[in-house]
Amino acid sequence: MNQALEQAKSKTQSMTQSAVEAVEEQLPETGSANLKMTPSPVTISTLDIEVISIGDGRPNVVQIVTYDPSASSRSYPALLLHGTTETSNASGLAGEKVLCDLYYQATESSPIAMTRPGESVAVEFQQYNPEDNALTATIGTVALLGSDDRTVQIQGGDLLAVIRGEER
Amino acid sequence: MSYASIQTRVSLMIQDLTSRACLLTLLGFAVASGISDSVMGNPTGDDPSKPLKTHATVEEATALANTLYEIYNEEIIHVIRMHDNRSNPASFSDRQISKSAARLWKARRDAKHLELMSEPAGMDLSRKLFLLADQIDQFGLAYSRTPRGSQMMTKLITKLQRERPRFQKFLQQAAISLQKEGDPDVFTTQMEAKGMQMRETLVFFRPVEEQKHLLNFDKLLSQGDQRQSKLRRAEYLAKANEKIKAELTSATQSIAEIKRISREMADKGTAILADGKTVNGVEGFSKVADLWAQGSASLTRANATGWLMTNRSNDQRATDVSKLKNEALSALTIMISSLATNTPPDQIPAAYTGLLRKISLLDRRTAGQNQVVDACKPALEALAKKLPAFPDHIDSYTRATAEPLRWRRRYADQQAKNLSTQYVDAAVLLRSKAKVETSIRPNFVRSLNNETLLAASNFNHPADWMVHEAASRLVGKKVKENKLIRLGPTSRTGAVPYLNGHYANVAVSLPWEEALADLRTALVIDDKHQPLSMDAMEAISSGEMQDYASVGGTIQRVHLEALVTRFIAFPDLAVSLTPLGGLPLLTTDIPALEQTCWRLDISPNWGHNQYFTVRLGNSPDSTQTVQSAN
Repeated sequence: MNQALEQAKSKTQSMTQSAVEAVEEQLPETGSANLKMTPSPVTISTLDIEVISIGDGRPNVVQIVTYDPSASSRSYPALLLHGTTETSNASGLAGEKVLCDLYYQATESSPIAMTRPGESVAVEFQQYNPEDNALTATIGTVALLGSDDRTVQIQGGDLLAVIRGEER
Repeated sequence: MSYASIQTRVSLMIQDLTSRACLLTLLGFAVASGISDSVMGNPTGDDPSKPLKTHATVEEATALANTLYEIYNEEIIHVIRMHDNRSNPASFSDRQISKSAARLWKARRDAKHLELMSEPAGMDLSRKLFLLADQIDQFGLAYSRTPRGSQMMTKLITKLQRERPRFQKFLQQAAISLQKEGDPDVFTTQMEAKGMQMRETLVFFRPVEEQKHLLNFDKLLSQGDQRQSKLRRAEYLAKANEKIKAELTSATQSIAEIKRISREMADKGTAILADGKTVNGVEGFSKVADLWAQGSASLTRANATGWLMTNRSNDQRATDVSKLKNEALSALTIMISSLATNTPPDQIPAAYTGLLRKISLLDRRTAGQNQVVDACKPALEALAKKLPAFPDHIDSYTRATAEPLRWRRRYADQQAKNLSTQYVDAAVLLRSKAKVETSIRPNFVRSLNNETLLAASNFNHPADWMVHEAASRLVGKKVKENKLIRLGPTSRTGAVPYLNGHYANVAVSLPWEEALADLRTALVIDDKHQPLSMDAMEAISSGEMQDYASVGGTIQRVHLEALVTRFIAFPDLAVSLTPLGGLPLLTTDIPALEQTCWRLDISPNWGHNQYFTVRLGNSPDSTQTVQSAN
């Protein structure tokens, strides 16, 4: 009887796995951020990237967010990477390194941490994947300063950022 | 004392008053150059003996107050010394008691005169001089009971009896003068001279005996005082009215000039200022803001002068302030609109960002939320549209900087909350109670054992004791203040506007450069590219100006001022103390003249710009603790 039960369970798990994979194949990429933080790494399952061209001669702005800036409330953990580039579209960032300010908040009530004044974190863009319209990137090591004066260490991280606001 | 000698004294007094008035006019210039004035000042914790400053709506008040404070300072020395020797009244000098009694009797009358001039210093002096006179009376009686004093009393009684017919004749003449409504000044001068003479002698008599010898002197003096007080009050109220009228005229002139500049700007795109300079809309904007500040200072002075007459706020002044604000806001939009018409397209961005900066600065100096920003917004948008691509640049810039601004604002809020934990709200601290540990109360006053308010809302004791006791409990305390406005772009001082009985001067000494440079980078600003959104400009301009949303610091010095004096003797430059479009408020349950205005001098330890915080000394430790990611 136990054996029959185990077989049934295994079959159910297998079916569930197949169903999840089928759905994932249909869903568009949402992006992700994996941050190597202490005491445990943090994974955020949404990540968008946008290059905003101001148009008055200033550099363009690279904005990478884990939340919807137009929504009234944020999802947590929340992350913003904000820097400037001469590249005018996100897909063109592949192979570029952009120095960014990093802002991070684990939960709505936890202290915000950000790069110290005058400091930044390097975001190195690697590949552009036209199918998902997404970019992969890594971020360097950075010591953030919390609003409670504590240091928040990020020992690098991997990003998969979906490009928003640009025609494919 | 003969009539001629009294006249000579009066004329010398007038000369003295005139020379003092000249000196004070010069000092008044110094006052006008800043909020504080170290020369005249007011009592402080460091120097409690400084007199309460006069508002001098009646010019003679300043010299009179100074003279009376000098008398107090001289006489208290005698009183303290005699009080120390009170167990041995035979050691007292009868001559000193006589002299002090006469001097204090006259000085108390002069203090009442100052009160009639609506000078808070008058009340302070009355309170102080009464304490001294009361002691001198006791010393006089004590001395009269000593063997030497008894001998003296016999002689004094003989003298009084011998002089009685002459005194009676004097009183008859005084009564006739009253009846015939003779010159009240002459009457008062003669009566006071005689009163001092009598006081020199009668200080050694019990009150009942004293009255027997004074006959109907007090009654006649009281009648004369009533008559003269009425005349003086009418004269002084007329002076206050004149002052109010002059200030209102000045405010009206500001409005008229604002309107004239607006008309010219609307017609021609330029305006000629009073100094002959032709200005465009950007410069016109600054001029209108200046005229608004000038008019506002005039109305603040007129409002406070009105307190002297009615003891309460005047609704009409609030209407005047509102009218001035509406005229100014309307003119500001005309300045912007004229630029929309007259600025070449390639210069629109520079004009736009120049205006944004001015609007942001002015808005922080205005009562209420976003009054200037909201009023100017439509005209600014119209200006931007004159360069077709420019509104898109503004939209893109706003979108590109909105997120770092939001994050930084929330970050700074959290930091400020943490920084505030060791700091008590200044207004709360001032209204708290504690025991007085050190006091300068003289030996003849009993010491305090109970808890008292750190900074009372009204003058309930001599100002020097009050400020000393307040300072001894406040100096060194860490306090938080809201809204610090720098007096000017080159000023080394910022002001915390007056609210609920106090204001503060804060040194502009926080290290802001690094935080501002970082903010500029985050907001994509360089020498050629300025902020294009109001939020970004607010962040930058408040950072550059070192205006702070809140500030924490250590109290260095405490000053005690009278509320009415603070806002009657109110230099245009101190307009930061009362935001534009607002007026300082009276506490309703305390007479205006008795209301205190505490000033704290604060050395800042941290400042909270809405988008960053800065602090002195130890920056946050970067290596000590690692925060959990969750």
